[in-house]
Amino acid sequence: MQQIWTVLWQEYLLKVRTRGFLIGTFLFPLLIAGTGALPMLLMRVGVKPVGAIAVADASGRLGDAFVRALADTSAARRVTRAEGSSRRNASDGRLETVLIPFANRTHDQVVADLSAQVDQEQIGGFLLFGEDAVETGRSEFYARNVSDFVRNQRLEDAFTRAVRQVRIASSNFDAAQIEPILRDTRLDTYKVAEGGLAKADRGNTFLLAYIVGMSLYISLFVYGAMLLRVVLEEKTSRSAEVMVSIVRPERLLTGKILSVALLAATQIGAWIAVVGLVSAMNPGFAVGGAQFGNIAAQMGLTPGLVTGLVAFFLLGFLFYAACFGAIGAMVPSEAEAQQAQAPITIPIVIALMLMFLAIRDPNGVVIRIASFVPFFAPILMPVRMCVVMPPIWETILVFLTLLGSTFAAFWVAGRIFRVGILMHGKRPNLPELLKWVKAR
Amino acid sequence: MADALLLDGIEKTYDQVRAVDTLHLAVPQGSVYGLLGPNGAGKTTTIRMILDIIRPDAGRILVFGEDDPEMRRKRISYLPEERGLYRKMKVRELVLYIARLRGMDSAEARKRSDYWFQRFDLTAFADAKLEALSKGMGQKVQFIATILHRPDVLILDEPFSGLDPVNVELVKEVMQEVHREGATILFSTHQMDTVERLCDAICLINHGKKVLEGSVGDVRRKHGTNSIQIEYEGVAKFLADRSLIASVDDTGRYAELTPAPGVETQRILEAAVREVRVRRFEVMEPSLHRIFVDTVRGMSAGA
Repeated sequence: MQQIWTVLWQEYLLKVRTRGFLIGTFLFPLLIAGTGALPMLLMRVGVKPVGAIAVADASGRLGDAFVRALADTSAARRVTRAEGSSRRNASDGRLETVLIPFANRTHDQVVADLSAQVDQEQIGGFLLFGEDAVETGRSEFYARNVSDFVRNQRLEDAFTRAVRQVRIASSNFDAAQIEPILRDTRLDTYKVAEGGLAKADRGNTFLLAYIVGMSLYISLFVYGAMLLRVVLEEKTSRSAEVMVSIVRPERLLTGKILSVALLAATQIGAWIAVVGLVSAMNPGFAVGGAQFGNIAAQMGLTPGLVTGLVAFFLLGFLFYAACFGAIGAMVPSEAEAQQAQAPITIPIVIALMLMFLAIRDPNGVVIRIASFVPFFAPILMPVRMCVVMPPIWETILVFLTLLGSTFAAFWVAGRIFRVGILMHGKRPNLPELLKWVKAR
Repeated sequence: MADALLLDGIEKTYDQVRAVDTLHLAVPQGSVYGLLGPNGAGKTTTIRMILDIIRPDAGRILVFGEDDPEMRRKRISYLPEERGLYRKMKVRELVLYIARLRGMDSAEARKRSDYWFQRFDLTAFADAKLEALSKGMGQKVQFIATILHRPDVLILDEPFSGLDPVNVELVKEVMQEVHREGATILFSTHQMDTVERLCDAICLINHGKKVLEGSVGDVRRKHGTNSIQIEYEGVAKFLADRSLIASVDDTGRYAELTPAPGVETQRILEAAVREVRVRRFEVMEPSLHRIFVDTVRGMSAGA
């Protein structure tokens, strides 16, 4: 025990003081925050319209309605924005429109004329409504850049409204009666928790499950790879022989695995602390005005759930750590490690795919069965617990299965480690590997 | 008194190759024991089994009369031939780490490591990372880590390879000191003159089997007194004369030879004087080197 602790601490110190670790600890959250927030920030940046949009209306009935509808949408948007809605959108700037008469030109002539104007940058683009636009509900938009999906959406919205308006006007229905019928609808979701208490849930549960699942997925990859390197290092530096003459191989491996676990805990702890600190100091920070605890409560993070999450994460981590350690002991070099770890990385990826199904159908047969597979349980169970708490007996049974598998994985990894770390030739094939495991 | 080390019929087979074949070996307490053998003879496999790094297919290994792998790790300190170190660690850090793993008090370990760093001329590098050290320096660091806790048994696999002559002498000196303090030393080397100078007893193994065993004196006497050493200048054609000489090791200026059966020493001297300028001519017990070469060659010729 003393030796395991000594190995753990030494390996931990060795890694913690490297520049890579410091950079990883403080840069990684920035990177994640950056990749998460940047697209959102960029979406908010208003795109300056290139120029007025010409509207050529052959039907003669849609043009005015369209211009009004377009002005309406931007006005409406400005209002919601003032209310502080989170549904802000880009290119809020008013789209200038110019109505252009068709003047007996054919469709193709108009396209040619206006395209020339776009080319000379006199106008930003143009819309064409055909003679039968009201009936077909089709329109055409021409511009140099037609990839501004925010603008396209606005044009389409305005067009839909205009067409609807004209259709109602030309029907026998009374517009005043029809309008309320066509009003937008929405679906509010409420989560029914234990005890039958219902609570409004605007995607919180999904977000929590997603964040938990993703974090597990990323951690398994990052720290698994780190552990693999730590074990492999023992081989490439040829220090293994001296070490196992002092410490039993199983203890050396255990110490190494635990050191990486401690490292992961340090890093994740540091990230949580940073987020907590920043949100405490700066209430306007991205996490929103609410304090950390509030957010947690809002997401449904009860102490019971947190305990469950941590328990499964720890166990799953150790299970995968043993697997990665075994791979590290098996391969002769880092290059070969890439291929050799496929039997472990593929299950992690599958687990991630299953995660999405687990969010939608947490108690479905597929997910319930998959939860018993030790490779999937570390990701599936926490996600299921976030969405709908599985029956307690099932949770315990899965936990025990994972616990047993983890012990088995440690045992097998220890066997492979004992033989593998002294081997420097080629990677063993399966029969050889079985022989290693069975060796006395 | 129980032997410091007793190997009782140990065996190890790798893929049909018998690396160690029912080997019996007894290393008395307080002795310096040489484990000799050509490359691939099974020396390292044997040593690894002693330390429970690999496990024998059959046989027992007793350390001070006890059959307990944990006890072996506690009482034996091992310097492997394949010397690797954690490259990112600092010299002192590594030595103290290993001392801690061996359960040493850290203040004591610090004190002793300072002494040894000075002795091995490493004080200036105590805080350097191991990756900055030359191979020979790294080897010295590892030697210090091996002896720091004053082990009961020291096993050294090729302790001199890669060291310059000055450091070879230093390591030998320290080995003798450790021995005087009561440690039992088992070591393997290809330097036969060192074996003759240091070892109380030797064991020669080949193809995993014990071939020769005993004190250096016994082994040499058993191989007769009819070995001849000649130092000469010139071209010694007579050395190739099989009617005169049974076998020879010739370096061009120095030769050690065994006369053909029934050939008088005198006749060989006469032949030598006719062809070359003889600087030295000595009839003696064969050197270990000679015994080693003859035995191993004899075995492969017979095989």
